[in-house]
Amino acid sequence: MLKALLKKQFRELGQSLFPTRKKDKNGNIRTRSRAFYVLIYSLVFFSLTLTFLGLAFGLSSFLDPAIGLYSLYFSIVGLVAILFGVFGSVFSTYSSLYLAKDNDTLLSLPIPPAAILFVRMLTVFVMSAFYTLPVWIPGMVVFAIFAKTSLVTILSQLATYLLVCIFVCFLSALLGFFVAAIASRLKNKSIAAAILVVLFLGVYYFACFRMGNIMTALIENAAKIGAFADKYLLFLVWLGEGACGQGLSLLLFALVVLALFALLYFILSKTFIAITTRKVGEKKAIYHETTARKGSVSSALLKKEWKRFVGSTTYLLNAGLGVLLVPIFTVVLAVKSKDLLPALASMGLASATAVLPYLVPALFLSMNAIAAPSISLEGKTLWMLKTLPVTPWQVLRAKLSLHMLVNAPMGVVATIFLGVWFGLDVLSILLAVLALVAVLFLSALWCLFWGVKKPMLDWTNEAYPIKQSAPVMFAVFGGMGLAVVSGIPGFLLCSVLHPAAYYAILVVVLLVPSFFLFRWAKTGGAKLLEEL
Amino acid sequence: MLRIEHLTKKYGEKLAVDDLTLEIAPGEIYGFIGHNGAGKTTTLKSVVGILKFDAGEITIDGVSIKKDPLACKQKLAYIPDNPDLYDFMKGIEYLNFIADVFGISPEARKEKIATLSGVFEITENLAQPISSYSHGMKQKLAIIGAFLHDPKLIVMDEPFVGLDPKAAHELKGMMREHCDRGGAIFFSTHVLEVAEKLCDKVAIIKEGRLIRSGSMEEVKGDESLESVFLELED
Repeated sequence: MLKALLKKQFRELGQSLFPTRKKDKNGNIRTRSRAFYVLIYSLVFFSLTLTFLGLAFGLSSFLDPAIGLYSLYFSIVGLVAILFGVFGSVFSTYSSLYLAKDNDTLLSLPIPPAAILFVRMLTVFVMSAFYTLPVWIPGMVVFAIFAKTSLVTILSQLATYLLVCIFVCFLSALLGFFVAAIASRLKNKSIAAAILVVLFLGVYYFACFRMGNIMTALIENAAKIGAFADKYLLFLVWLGEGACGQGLSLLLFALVVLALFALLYFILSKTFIAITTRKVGEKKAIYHETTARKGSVSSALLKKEWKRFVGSTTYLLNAGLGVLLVPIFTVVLAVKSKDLLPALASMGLASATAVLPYLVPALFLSMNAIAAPSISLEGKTLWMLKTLPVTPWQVLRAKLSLHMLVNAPMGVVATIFLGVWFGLDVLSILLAVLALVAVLFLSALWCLFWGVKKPMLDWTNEAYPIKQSAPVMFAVFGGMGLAVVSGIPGFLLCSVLHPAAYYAILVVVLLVPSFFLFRWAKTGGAKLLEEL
Repeated sequence: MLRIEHLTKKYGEKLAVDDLTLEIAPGEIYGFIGHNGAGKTTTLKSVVGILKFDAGEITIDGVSIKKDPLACKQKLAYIPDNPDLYDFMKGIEYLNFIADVFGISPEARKEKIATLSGVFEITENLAQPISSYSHGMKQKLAIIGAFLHDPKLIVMDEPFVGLDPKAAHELKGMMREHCDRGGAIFFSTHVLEVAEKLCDKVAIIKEGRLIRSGSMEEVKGDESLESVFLELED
């Protein structure tokens, strides 16, 4: 039974991450090679690993035999892995665990709820492992370069990694449980759940950053490490010592992680049916006849996209969080600019004032891949768009419009605010805004491209098309890459060019691929949608 | 109203519909019967433009679905066998969405929604999200959405599945009324008693091939439709 459940769950996960089955124009299913996806995922993984390799090298001074803070090194690597892992998996945990469309079917079969939950938690575990590995591998590599390593330490590090993944899975599932328990009693579930996740996450990160501060203080005052850590940060100390091959610490770390996980699993399995089937809090609304305003086809399609977006917690969190992060980081950047700008200038990045008004919103909004899962989300309702008198291009245009309408206003406000704050001239601000809109438009087209190219229509849980699918991964990481590639050269070029000139060039450069992708969307993309 | 000529549709090597030809005139309720997997849904989906077909031609009111799908879709409505609607919308939002797509005026849609939702007794539920609807309520909403813009041709795949007896009775009345006003209905069903009483014409399909079609009297003669169907299927 468990084997059958696992097979079903991982077949679905596999199909969303490696959508090799494709319908041809005659509706026949064709199977394609997985090599392409393996290559792209490897590239994404490699880029993330490189990023964290820099961090690991930054911590390599701890591994100097004269200092010998080996376990502290792994404590910090572990903490970063936990932070990144939770960020990567938490937004889809609520829906992964509780909102599957096959809940009723599975609950009606002779399968214990605990088994259903176990299999779904394994999916969360896989995502946790995917996001923590690019942090952990560089950690191990740098350790091997600078410290003495043996088979025992390597095995200990692998065991610790496994436990870190379980701990990330525990944290994500705990958050998913709280959100589900509260949201199931509320009326506007999707928005309420989204707010709850953001709130919980805010508290979680605040706590983690506090811990980070404590650790920084410890690093600066290494003499007090032993006493303080033993008193307050035992869990992280065990993690670090365990990874360095100290058997007792590894055992203690394992005991804590496994005990926490087992306790949560017990609670979740006991409450699973109650939460998935709870209907309270839904006061029956009564319809009162009203005269609706007549809208155009385009506005009807756009409204439909908007309702889908705000009607799903998973969609809102995974494709809308950037809108919330932009104002937060804009304000933080403005407040901290007095300290930050001189620091950047000392690193030879004096042009930051010209680049950041563009780069900050572009980077955070590239996380909002709204258009990427929008085709897959049509799922079994695609028949409607195919039988209504609307053209495929009208459908795609509505998806593009939503992407822009959600992202562009916040981005424009942030760019103007930062531009004014950093004292850019009006022309530079205007062109920075144009460049931002251009990069968002290209990003929207990029998302739509993957959404149409690799749709996944037969999902049972919306977390798959929204979070754990090939088009979304390609769209998000590609979008982030686009923001970085278009913004980073500004740090160099704005020292020799006027910011307005840089942004003018950027607008032109961004519009060229946008033109081709836009033309493709109208013709090739529309044709692909028609053939789905 | 609907002309299907030599329709052929393959899934890989499998022939789902094989050289099917039939015609439905205005005012006719045309029943389409056959065993599971005979090719009924494939035919209906080809008619409404969901599936592309390999050979043949389908015209609705003289317009080819291949050449001008949009013009055809303006004239038709489709109710699938499983009413997967937009769960994230409320019932009334879904109907307004359909009305907007077909450009129905506010007054006309208000009147139509009031009448049709009253007939199916779901007026009060229109303010609730579709996700909270039962299968039958979704089916009723899909039917209201289909009748909302007065289509010339309505294509239905097992329309009575999930409906309560009263709603099924009302639907039969609406189908007759629609055809009496010059519209046409092409629907598949496994309920042969309903087909026998309701349809003006009937077509029987087996393994993708049309094995008998014509007026009800021509097809069944003095026997019941059920016995003719079972005979032909054997």
